Amino acid sequence: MRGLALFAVAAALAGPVSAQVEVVSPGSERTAVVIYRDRPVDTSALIERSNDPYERLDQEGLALIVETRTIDLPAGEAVIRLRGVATGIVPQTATLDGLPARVIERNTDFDLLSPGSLLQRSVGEVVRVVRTNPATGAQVEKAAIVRSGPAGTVLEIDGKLEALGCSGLTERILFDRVPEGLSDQPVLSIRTRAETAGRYTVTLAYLATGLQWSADYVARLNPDGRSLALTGWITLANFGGTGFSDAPVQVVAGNLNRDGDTVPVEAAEVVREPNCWPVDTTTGGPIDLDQLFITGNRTRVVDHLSAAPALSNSNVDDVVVTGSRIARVGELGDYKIYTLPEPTDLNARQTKQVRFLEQDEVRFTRIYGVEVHAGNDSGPRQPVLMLRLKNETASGLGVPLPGGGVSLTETQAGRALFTGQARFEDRGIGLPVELVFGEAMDLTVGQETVSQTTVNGRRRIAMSVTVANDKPGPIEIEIKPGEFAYRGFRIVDSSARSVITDGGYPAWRLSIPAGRSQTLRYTIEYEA
Amino acid sequence: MIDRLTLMTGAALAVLFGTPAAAQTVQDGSGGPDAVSLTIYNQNIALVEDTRALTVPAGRSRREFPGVSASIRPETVGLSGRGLSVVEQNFDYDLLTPDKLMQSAVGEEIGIVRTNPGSGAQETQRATVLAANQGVVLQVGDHIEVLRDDGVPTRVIFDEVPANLRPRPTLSVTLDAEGAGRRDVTLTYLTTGLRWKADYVARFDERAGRLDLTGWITLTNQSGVTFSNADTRVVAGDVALINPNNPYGGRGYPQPQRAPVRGNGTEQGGAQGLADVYIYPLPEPVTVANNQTKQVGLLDVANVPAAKRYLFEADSFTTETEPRAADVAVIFSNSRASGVGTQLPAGVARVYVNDEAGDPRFIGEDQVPHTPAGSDIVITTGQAFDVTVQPRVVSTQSAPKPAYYRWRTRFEMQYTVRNARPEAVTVEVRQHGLGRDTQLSDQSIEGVVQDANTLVWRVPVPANGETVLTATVVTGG
Repeated sequence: MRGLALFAVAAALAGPVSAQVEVVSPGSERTAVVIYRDRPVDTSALIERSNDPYERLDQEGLALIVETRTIDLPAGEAVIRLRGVATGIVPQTATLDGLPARVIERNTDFDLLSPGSLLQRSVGEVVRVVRTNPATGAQVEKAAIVRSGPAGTVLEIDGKLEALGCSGLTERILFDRVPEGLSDQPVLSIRTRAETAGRYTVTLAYLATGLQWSADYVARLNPDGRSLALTGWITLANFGGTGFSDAPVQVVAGNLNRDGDTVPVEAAEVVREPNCWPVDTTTGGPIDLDQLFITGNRTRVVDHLSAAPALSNSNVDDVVVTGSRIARVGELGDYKIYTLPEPTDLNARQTKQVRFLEQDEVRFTRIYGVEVHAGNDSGPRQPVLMLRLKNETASGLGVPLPGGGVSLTETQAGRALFTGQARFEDRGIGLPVELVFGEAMDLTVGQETVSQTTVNGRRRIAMSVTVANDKPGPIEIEIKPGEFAYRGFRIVDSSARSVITDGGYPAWRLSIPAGRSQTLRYTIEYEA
Repeated sequence: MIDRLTLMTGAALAVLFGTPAAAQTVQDGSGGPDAVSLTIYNQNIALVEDTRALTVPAGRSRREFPGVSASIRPETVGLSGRGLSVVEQNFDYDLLTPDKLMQSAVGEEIGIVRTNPGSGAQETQRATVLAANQGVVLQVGDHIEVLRDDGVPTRVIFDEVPANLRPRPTLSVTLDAEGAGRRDVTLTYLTTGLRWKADYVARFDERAGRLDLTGWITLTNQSGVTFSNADTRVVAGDVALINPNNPYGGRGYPQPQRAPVRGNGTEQGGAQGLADVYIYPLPEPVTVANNQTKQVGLLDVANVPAAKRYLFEADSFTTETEPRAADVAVIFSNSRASGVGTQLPAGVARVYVNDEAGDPRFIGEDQVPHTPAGSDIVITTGQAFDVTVQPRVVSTQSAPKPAYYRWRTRFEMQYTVRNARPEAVTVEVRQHGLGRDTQLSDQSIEGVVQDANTLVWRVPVPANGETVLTATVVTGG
């Protein structure tokens, strides 16, 4: 139903131009969507936040919307209205390519249509006021001139003045038309000057908010215990008010620099403030204003909702999983861009998942970690479980890994068991990936500060750390001295050899057989 | 020539002097100015010159000016016209509301219409308003009652609008004219609610090392009024504004956040320079509607030489346990040689590159400060996915120092610079957090002390490889 409408309107604009032709482009024929994220996001947390009416998820996130439209360009000067752009459009980012005409100016108007703005724009205009007799139900309609606007409306009826909504009668105002320029969404328009008329296919591109994506990984431990199967999913979420159907979708991995001014245009709100004369009585106290201003109050609620459109406070109610095909990765400048295998519908308030990674045998090291601070000898502690991967082909990976959350499951006695979740940042090829999965069961670390002395301005500490393994198999644990960043830090002596880890800090690694415990003794010093 | 008489009137003038009540009030047919010109600044302020042809009677007359900005700064109003002098200016913001209408009806007669809730019969009476405090006290015939004391629906009908109550704030001027007749009057004033900034689109072709730069002037009007066919110009450069809340300094109206100007240019740009600002007249009159964002072309240049830069900055000497992505920036010059040859007003630059299918895709945006021509412009678009740096403090120890130094430390540093891209890159590594008298030694790549707080190395990294930069820094004092 996307057609082309051409209205020739002799605009009653005074000025150097006597008449202007107005062309309306009702919508795009094809829309491509490119979704960005400036930091890894957690879509499930976002969906939870979308339940909160005060959250403005429709103003977060960023996407590039590329629309293909056909425009009938008139010769001479014309105004082309581009309707049906996405809500959340950041108008100053719009670019229009393919129109062989001089663009004199482009405008975005957003005067929100609301009861308040209707009244404000009708000051000095003739409206009709309809009153209903409470007993007989008879309706009386009278012409009235609006003499003052939404902050307490005064009407001129038959040359006399009356206040709107102060009499206790049911009153309503009838307007003949919507005043020019009031609408429920931003209107983009361009003023062009062309030599010749013609029909052109143009590309309108702009940034818009409300769309987000995240990378989510599912890791399943393989039975060999040394490798895992890693599946990566792109989760798309549309918190905006506009759906995109059959759209080519791309997502960009990488952290973009963004400017705080790149936000959607906010409608100028005209709030109707019911305003009457004093209403106290001798009998029952002040007349109930809520009752008096039923319409007025409702107006305010409507205004509030329009500030936070209904779409932002409702559930994302539709989760679609399309895993049959896999998204393709490419380069975009210094980012990675993933192109979804086929055009897809990206409906308002929907999340959607598409697979982008499938690696069956990713080798990893399972290691436990604990940080020891001298003088901090409380009871035994649990170390954390870490899985270390190397993003290399030799380890079964070697693909760009956009940062995100990993859910780890393993199979125990034939049943899947959820082990925990971890997050990591963007990892290019060749980089180590460390996944920290929280505290481990059946492992305890006890520490004892054996001695602390200060000689010649150097503090020397002797520590003893005991690790007990109650697990059914052997484990490896990494012990990190909490003081490694102090000035003049040095390992004087230790019962095991220390290493420099991928994280750049020194540590000791112990291998402990099942049901055994081991003690590490070390002496460090640093400048006091 | 027109005999110009401009009177700048303080707000204090709104206080009565003379007997303006005696002046004759003239209503005007047309609602707005005949011609208007706007000079819009970056800082939420604009100068409006509003010209109207008025038929003025000789002697004193009071004249209203509908269609002036609703956000007018009344203390900045000036009026000039042949043979006219200003007696006083008033900016009335006593707005017509039901409450004000009732207040001004105290002592006057009004009509009331009661509707019987049972029968629906209407009864019309005349009443005198005695008071309108907490509730409205009326005298109806020979008795006193409170309006709607019984809750019965009652309409109140006022005979006239008091002259001082208006639907909108209104500027009125009492004029003293030499002789009657028609003449042009120019009203000048400052208003808030109008602002502008620049928006740039840079299409960057990394392979060719070029970019195409398009600039737009973006005007926004939230002044509450539409300026039709305004002869408009915008001024780049921040002008000084006093703050009414802080008379000893500071900026008055809400100001844009501004990065420090980093332009190093020495060239003269093309736009008209005046009073240390640049002025851009729009090519033709435009209608600046209320609640509108308007964009007009500012510049359009193609094939500007441009380069990409990877930058990593360490603020102090620390070990980072995870590799950190380098910042990516596009750098170009707005010198005449590069083809731009003009200063750039402050705004936001958005960078696009082509994806593998050849479609332009956004890759990031950055603030551009007011930049003189001939400057280097750095647009940081984001962080590189594939280029990372991981600094490590190999060792630290106190270094020998003069007795009056508080500290002096020898840092043995190692920076692992990794590149997963299929081509070689050069990464600029900057180390900050320096003290006095910094000395560099044992460097694997020659670096420089760029300033008292910055060491810089330019680290070449092969395709799909890594380079480990080591250096020893002795600093402190």
